[in-house]
Amino acid sequence: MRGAARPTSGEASDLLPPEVLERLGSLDLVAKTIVRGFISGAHRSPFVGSGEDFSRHRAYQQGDDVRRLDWRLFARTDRLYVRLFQEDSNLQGFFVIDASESMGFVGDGAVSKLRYSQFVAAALAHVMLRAGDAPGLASFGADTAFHLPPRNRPGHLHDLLVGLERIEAHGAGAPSQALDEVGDALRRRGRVVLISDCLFADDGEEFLAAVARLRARGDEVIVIRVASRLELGEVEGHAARYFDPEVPHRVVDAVPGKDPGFRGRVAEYYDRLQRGLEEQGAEYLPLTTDMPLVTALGGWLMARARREARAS
Amino acid sequence: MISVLLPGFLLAGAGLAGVVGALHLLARRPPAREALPTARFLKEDARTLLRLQPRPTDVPLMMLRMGLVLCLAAAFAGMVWTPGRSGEGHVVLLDAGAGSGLDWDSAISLVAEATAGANGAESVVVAYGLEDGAREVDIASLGSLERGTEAATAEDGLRALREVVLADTRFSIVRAEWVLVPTWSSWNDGVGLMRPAIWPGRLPIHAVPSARAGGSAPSAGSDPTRGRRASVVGLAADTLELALGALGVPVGPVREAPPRPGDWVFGDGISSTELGALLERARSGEIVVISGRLPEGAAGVPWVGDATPKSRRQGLVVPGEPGFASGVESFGGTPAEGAAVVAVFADATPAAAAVSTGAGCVVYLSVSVADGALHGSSNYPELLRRLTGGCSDRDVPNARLGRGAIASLQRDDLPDVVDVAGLAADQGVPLSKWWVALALVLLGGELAMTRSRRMS
Repeated sequence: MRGAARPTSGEASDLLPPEVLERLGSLDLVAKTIVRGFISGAHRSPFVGSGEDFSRHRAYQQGDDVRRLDWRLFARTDRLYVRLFQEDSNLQGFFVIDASESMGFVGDGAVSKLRYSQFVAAALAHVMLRAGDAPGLASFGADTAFHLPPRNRPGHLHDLLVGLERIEAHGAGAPSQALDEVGDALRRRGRVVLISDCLFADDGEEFLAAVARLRARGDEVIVIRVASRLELGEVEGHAARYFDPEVPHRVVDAVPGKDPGFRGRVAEYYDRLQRGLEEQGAEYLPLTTDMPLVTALGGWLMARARREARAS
Repeated sequence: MISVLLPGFLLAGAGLAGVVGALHLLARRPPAREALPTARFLKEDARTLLRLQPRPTDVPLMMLRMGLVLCLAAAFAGMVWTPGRSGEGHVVLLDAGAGSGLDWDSAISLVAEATAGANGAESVVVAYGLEDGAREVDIASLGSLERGTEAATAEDGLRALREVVLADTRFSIVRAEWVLVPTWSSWNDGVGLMRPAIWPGRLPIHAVPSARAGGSAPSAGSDPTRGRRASVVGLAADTLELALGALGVPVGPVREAPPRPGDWVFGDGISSTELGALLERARSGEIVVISGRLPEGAAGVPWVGDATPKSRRQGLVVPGEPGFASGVESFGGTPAEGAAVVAVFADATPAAAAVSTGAGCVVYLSVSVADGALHGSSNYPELLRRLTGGCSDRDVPNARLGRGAIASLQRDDLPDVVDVAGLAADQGVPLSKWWVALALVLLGGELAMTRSRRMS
């Protein structure tokens, strides 16, 4: 494979923390800065499929399309090989951004969870479009909103980034409804990338059911969880009356970090969610808002590319 | 310099601000509320509750509220800001209007003479009556100064002096002198009364010679008492006899016929029959001086209007003579059309008028010649002589101001220097509106801060 994504080791961009990206201003510049960090020169997309651009040979198997047989190689080796190609614009996808009230939380990070999610979506959209895929954009908060249909045309990245910028945290949304609607909007099998804090009112049961429905129709589901370390109990907070921004009337007098069970309970919740997703065949990527994006996304994309290579 | 009109409000405001601070320090805030999306995983325990004791007061909010109270108190206290002043100024007030017969070269000489006596204080010349009003002028350029086209009044000068000096922040005390054409045209109603209120200091007057007046009183000339005889009708015969005797005018009974031109006849509190007889004598050439209450329907007298006693006046002013600065009771009314004013009260309202009748003259004085305040004055005989000259002193507006009028402008009884810093305090910039504006800003901040505290 030619296009395995690899973070450029030792470059300054590897270390760009979210607060530095925030100072860059537009999402376009942020996306390019991140992508420059893990894609270099002629490297191709980590999202590999079958397209027009030659990728490699594989031994012929029963059922393969005979039009892909490499007859010249057969003449030299007397063995049948089929030609595999880089996927281009075949794949449709959707970025589904959680825009509920809790995503506006900043915590100990320099940016809010929503802003961090916008950085992630911008970078991945850039990568997908370079790979010839067609990403769309939807969000859910007080309501489910379809901002852009999946497309791959000049200017689509700009539209997508503008749509991302317009998303604001508001209300409490239902991810299951949003995922169902996104599934209906995809005309064929596609990829759904959900970016959320994954804090669901019913402990994620309906969400997992919606993921199962997407998987059943053959869609690829990637769940990127964004959280701050304060929420996870990894940073000591101070004594206060804490409340969930989506349930403001329920107040708990506590000190996060001093509560020995708090960190464990949060971790258990996310572990259970991760297991549920993996059982459905969905991919789960936990991120925290203090992580440099190049490191976080680059490592994941590289591992994903290796998996793709092994699978094929 | 900031002055406070009602300092009690400041004290009250300080007390109230102290109360606000005390209430803040006594009351304590509830624990802060903070958002945490994973709050549902937290558990409440006793140790946490112990840490969540009410917090000390919100100091910024307390300071904001105390500031708001103090601003309101300052707004009600009537604070006034006046620019800082220091130093002594010597101001020469110059009449640059088209005063009658103004001798400008003489005026410039008088200004130079006045400024020479500045005694080290900075000398300033304020010209009034110019086309553009009043302003400070350069002494060196007085020769080319373009004067006004209309005569300026004494009141114009006084107001100009006040305005220019108060607008000038160089001096805290000012000594002023006045270069003036002292004619009756510069006099106007009320100037005598307003004089100390407009400029509460002495104003030595340098009199510019008047070309028309020629520097002499219009009544000056041959002795008007020579060969006269006088007679009295009505009251006060004894008093008048003494005064006229002092003038060398013998007093005799009113002769029936024939009247003698030039003789004087005084009538005070006369009846209509007596008035008719006196007017007949005036037509025959005698000089008739009528004073006090007039009979109903009196005609041929240079005075119209109510003859009821109206008010007590400060004194009489007769052209060319010092004022009779004693309180007199005046009757109402005004000079008749065509009559010449021959005397005024200290507030510049007409006191006596004269009109020629036939070969003689009728003079009316709106004060009884028997008024004790008049005949108690050492100038009483001279007043009588001036009244009888009323018809010959017809050019009163351009006549030289009498010593009494000049004295009422000069006011030797007032101090030489004026504390203009004190005068300017009344005209300073009121700060109340700025305190109110600041209070509104603080109120907005207080509301916003209170709201944000409630939200958190």
